[in-house]
Amino acid sequence: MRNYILQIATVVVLLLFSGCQDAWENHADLADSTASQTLLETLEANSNYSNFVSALKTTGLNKTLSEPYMYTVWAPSNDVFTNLPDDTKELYKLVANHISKGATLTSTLTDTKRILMLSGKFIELDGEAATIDQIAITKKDQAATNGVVQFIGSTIEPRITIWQYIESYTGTNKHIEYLNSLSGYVFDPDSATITGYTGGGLPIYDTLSGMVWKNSFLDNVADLRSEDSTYTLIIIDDEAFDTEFDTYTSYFKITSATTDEALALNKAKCLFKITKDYVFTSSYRATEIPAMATSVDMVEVPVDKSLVYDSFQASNGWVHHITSCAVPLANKIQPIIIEAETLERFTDNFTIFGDAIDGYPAGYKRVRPDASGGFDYVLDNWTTTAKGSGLILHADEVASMRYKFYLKAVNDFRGSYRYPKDNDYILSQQLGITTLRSENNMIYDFNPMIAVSDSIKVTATSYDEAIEEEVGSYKFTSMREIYLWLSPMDNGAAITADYIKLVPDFE
Amino acid sequence: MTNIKQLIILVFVILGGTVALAQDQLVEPIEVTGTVYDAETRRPLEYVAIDNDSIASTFTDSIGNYRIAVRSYHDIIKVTVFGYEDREVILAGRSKVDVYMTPVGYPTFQREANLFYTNPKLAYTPHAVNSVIVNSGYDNGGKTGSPSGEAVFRGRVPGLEVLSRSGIPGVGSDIFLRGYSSLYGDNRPLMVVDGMIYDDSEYGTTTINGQRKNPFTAIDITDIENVTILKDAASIFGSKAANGVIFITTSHATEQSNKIELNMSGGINMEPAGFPMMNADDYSLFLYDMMQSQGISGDSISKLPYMNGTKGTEDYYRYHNNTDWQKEVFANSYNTNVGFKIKGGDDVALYALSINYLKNEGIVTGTDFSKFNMRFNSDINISKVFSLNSNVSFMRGDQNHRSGTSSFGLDNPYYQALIKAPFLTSFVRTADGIETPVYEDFDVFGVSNPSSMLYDANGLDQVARYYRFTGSFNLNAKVNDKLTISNLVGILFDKDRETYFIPSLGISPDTTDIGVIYNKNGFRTLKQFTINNDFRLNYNTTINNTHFINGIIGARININRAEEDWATGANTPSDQITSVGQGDPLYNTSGGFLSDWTSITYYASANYGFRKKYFVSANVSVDGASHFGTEADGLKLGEHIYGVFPSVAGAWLLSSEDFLSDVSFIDLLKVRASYGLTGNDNFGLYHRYKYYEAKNFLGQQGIIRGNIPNTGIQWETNTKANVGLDIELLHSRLVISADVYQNKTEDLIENKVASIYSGEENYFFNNGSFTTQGIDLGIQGRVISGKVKWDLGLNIGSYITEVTALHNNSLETELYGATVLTQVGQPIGVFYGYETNGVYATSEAAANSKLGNYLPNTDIVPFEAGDVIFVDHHKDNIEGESYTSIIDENDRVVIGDPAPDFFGEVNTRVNYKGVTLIANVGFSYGNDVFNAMRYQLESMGTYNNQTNAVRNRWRTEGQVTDIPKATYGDPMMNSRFSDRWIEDGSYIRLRNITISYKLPIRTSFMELPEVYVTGNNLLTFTKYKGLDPDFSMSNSTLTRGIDMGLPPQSKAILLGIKLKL
Repeated sequence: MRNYILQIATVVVLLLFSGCQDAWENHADLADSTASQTLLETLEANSNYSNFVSALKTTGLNKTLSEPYMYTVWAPSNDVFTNLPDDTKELYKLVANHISKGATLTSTLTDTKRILMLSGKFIELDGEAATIDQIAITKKDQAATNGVVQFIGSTIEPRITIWQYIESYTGTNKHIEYLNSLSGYVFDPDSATITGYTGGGLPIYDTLSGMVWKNSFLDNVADLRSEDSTYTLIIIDDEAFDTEFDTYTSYFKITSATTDEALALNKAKCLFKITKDYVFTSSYRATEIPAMATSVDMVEVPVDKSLVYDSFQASNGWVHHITSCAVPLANKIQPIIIEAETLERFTDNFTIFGDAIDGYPAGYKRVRPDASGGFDYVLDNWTTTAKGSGLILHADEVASMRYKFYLKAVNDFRGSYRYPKDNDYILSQQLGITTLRSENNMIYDFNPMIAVSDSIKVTATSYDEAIEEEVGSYKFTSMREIYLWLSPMDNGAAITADYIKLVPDFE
Repeated sequence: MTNIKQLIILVFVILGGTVALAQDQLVEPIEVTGTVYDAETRRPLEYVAIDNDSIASTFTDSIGNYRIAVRSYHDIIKVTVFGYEDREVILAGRSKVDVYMTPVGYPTFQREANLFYTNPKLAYTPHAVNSVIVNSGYDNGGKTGSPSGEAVFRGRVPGLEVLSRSGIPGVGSDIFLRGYSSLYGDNRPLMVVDGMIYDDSEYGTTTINGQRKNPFTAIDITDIENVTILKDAASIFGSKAANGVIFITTSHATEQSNKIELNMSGGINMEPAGFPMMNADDYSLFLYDMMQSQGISGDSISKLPYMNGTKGTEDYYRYHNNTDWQKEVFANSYNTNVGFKIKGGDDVALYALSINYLKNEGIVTGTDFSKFNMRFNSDINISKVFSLNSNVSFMRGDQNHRSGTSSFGLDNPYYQALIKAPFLTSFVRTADGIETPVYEDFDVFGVSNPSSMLYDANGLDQVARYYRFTGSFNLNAKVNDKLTISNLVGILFDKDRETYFIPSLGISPDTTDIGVIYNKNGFRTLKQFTINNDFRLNYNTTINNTHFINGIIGARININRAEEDWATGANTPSDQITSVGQGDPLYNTSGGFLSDWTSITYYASANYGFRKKYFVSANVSVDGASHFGTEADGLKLGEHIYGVFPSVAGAWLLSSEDFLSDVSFIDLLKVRASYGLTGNDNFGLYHRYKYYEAKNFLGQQGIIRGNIPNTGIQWETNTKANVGLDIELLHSRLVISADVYQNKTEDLIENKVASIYSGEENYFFNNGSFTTQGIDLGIQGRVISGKVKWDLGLNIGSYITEVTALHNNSLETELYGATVLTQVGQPIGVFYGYETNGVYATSEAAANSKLGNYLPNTDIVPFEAGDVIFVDHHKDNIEGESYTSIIDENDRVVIGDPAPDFFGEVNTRVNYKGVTLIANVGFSYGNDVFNAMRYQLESMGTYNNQTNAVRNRWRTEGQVTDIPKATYGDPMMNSRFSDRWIEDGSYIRLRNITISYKLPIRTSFMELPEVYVTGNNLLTFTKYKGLDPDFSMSNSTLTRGIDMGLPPQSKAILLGIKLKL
């Protein structure tokens, strides 16, 4: 009897402990190595990649490849993964240049894209050719739990950036010298340590610690150090560089003075204006450069790619040396259009040479679908018929040359006594220029007007009739920011404008 | 109607014929001798009373021998002794008869069926009736600690499916007898408790996910004495009996001595294993894939705080954990049961009082069910003529839920635990990794924090409270020996109250049309009041010990009233303020219903037996109800339409024939057949009326038409035919009962989408039909007898349904992602979806399939590598495109049938001296399940955590797998309703195993104290991947086999002690 009970008990206990999760076994257990091996295990399992694995271990990147985040490893085989740097930092850079974040499948990829490697470098992956950085992918899409291994036929050497190329350029080239000349150390209060405070409570900085390296070209035109953007930089030869300077030197004068200092300033301005248009946001191979390329400053630059005689592929684009690449005047110095409804306008918040303005102007930004920009602007003294001081608009920097002035204005004050069809009234206004003297508490003080036009009669009563009318011209002797001044004439108490246009007159 | 007339004529012909046959004459007294034995031990029994129809009576002597005078060798002698089933011995020509007595509880046809209005021995009934004596030494029902009364007959009756609604304590089971009878009506059998119709319907709509009203909790399992199941057409319950009738008899005192019984048990519910969800690393990789599929670059992804392994970032510790969220939700929990019974009385009054308290904790932390039951039954002999039986019970139950308001909702902690990112944790961790006691709020993916919902002082609060009072008073007037007049008055009063508060802490706010909801609250009360009155005349007579005649006529009235009131609110000022009405008035809603209905049944039953050999029974009921249409197709009496439900049954007890009486190994052999009509009146109370509904439109209340009335609406007619065979062999060592049946439902209530011009959605009408054919088989046997006793039993049932008529021949029902098809020629409610054949391993394979995927926006796109291969059953032969055929809804096929091929239970009992082991092993074979939870957990359309299976998702060209690629939003609809989600739900489960031991402590005042250990659901063998293969979403045919993944029934071990004074 005992035996029976024992036997039954044994069977029962065995049954109790036998898995009741059988149902999930086939369904949820890992089916194959795709789902069970990490990237590191996958690589370790392949003896042909042991050099790469040992480099991973030396640099600590092996830990990364065991993380539960997706990576793609572009693994070079032992026979091509040679000449490794001894320096661990350098080795890290090299190995990290073979690992990208995210699982990138190449077998179904047909387009070209740039892959960011852990080294911080973008590498071009050509889906159609199945190459990365022009290196053939020998075995595609070996999946692991945390990503994909792409076996490749050569080491992906980390490339330098365009700027590193410029900095390390050993030849002589005025263009490159100019770019390098813009580098320097600048005091930056934010990064400086404060050593104490003045009696007035202002901080005293340790100036040495606050000096930071800057290059105004990188800051203002294009950051050629950046890895996550692509650029093409054209470097023109010295001769072409001088030709461009000669062409533009008269147009980009900051001052008409002729002191050495003045000449140096003018030259710096001119060179900046020349060089800014040789940077393009796309990465063009020499053969791919379009005949008319658009520079980062949106200037159309005609490029004859047959004149390219040397090219360098950087990690963030290309540098092309070209014998000549002149930019036409009309492309570089473009007309300036100032919409009257622009935000940078002055109606009652200014003084003229310290004197208060006339009138009690009220401004209206009007919806006019046919107007340029969809709006125009009216300034009116409703409370009085007295003549006001008018409207001052901020215009861009003008080149040191003659500009023709154009105006488009419509008097459609329907229902108003100023409406000519009702009252035989002709609105007249005058266009001039001025410059800012000072600004204090949002009150702007302007110099008196330099008139550009005579009295301009606004005869158009609708946008159907309105025309762009040339109203005068003015020759600027130096480059500067100017303000346009539209002032009421005769006994008119209002001014109106759709836009004002300044067109360079190359004579 | 002509059928019925023919039936009635037939009945009279049979009755007349048999009366004419009764020609026996009294002859000189002759004697019968023999020995009475215990059928189990085969030992002779002394002092056994033997009685021959009051002509003679005697007792057995010390060696069990008896000698008694009989009128003829066709007499019937009654053998009775305490502790054994009364046995009637049909001499059938024998002069020497050995009698084997079976102990109470032992399976035998000598048991009585408690049909309340008549209690025939199972041996003599021509109907398909099973009687289960529970809480005897042959059964462990009372020792399972189940809070719900139906647990005692689960698995005990062939053809009866008792499917657990879930493992939420106290929610009970859905009961199906011989499959289904209705599509939109009720499929639950009629419950009659102590003679009173016991309403176990769920009125109104619950506001708590997983909550099911369970009136069976009002019957304590230890109070049940007998359960009798009437499976075929008895017709006496007319239009309420289409799903059969279950009679429950609660315990009464049977003797005058005082008996006190104490029963205590307690135990542990074991934390379930849960779903194998991905751990933090696997989930991170899955999330990475998901984000990449959205076109987010690896660089952008790696900048996310949870996709970055660099320590030192502020959120590093918040996002770098490995939490098994299911462990946060599930826990071991405890069960306590205490019961006390006292029985006794004198010759005037017998009483039985029982008081029970139970607390059953759920495996989801914080859930429990506790209840208090009291029952007082009495039998009073007022005079020789009058007697009164009264049954009064009261129950109060409290159920704490923590399951939110929907299965896959933000407020359901269990579902949120499954889908929550395992790299998160319950508590806020500082930048240095120190865990604070502050709960995290909902997470960056919008998934709630299950821990704060369950454990915070102002967490989720969902309570359902019940009160049920029942009282039935049966007054009998025994006019003479033959005629008894009885009237039963029964009342039932129910009050349910649900309240809930869904806090804002830890739960994502819900954006609705009128604003953002941060916290929610609500309550609902339901009151129900029912009066039953049953008046009947019962006439019994025996002529010459040869003709046994029983006639019953009666009338039963059932008056019901139910009222539901509910209110909901939202955005209370803080989680501490939880009452309805304290929220933002903008979100306040309230409503309810009040309904009254009445039914009346006139019934008659005639039963005739000839020499206990031939039995004939004819029944008829005439049923009216307030919800039957005025133009229904039935008998018009006055202004009302009544349904007429006749039935007829006959049996031939072959073992009472002389030619079989000498075959000593046959105790009983009976063939029986029945045929008759029943109906289903539980199909919605207001389809015949025109009614209006309240509607809130932009804050304004108004009423709109609520339905299209159908004055012709009526009961569903259920025609039942049954042929059965009862066999008892080898002195009750082998008892077999087999039935073959066909049920046909006609006038099936259908719901069609009404014409848009009507402005209404639905129109209910009687139209379709379907049949159910099946076999029931019950075998009970004693395998080993002797010192060690081993009983083994098998109950098995099998049925198939076929829809034979339906409006438009076909009905598709969309439920929780599944498409359920009901179609002529098919079984009722099958799963209808796409067949799959793995996953395209390569782009080439996908292109070669030449299949286009028809998307909901009508685009047709080719399948790609990593997409599921849907089988193209409908060839479209398209030319001029890259595809020749498309996968669209025409390609759907039947992918599963939720009905089992067969189901039942094996039970066994082993006894050795004082040790008894009882085990019940339930099984179901061939039922298909739509695993809706796994569908949620493997669809891979969102950032939700998924099961370990998705680690095998297709990721690279050439990878052979059956899990498709992970794509955000699943644009290719790889997760559509297909055979991927249909599983074989077959199982074998050790439902209960109880080992009890009678301690050999002999005292004068007490029986041997019994200690026991019970294990519930300890072992389950199944291929089903859900947490529990034994579940039921509702008692509708349409939801059968849809597993919403509610908490599973727990494995539990209980220790108990039972004292009898």
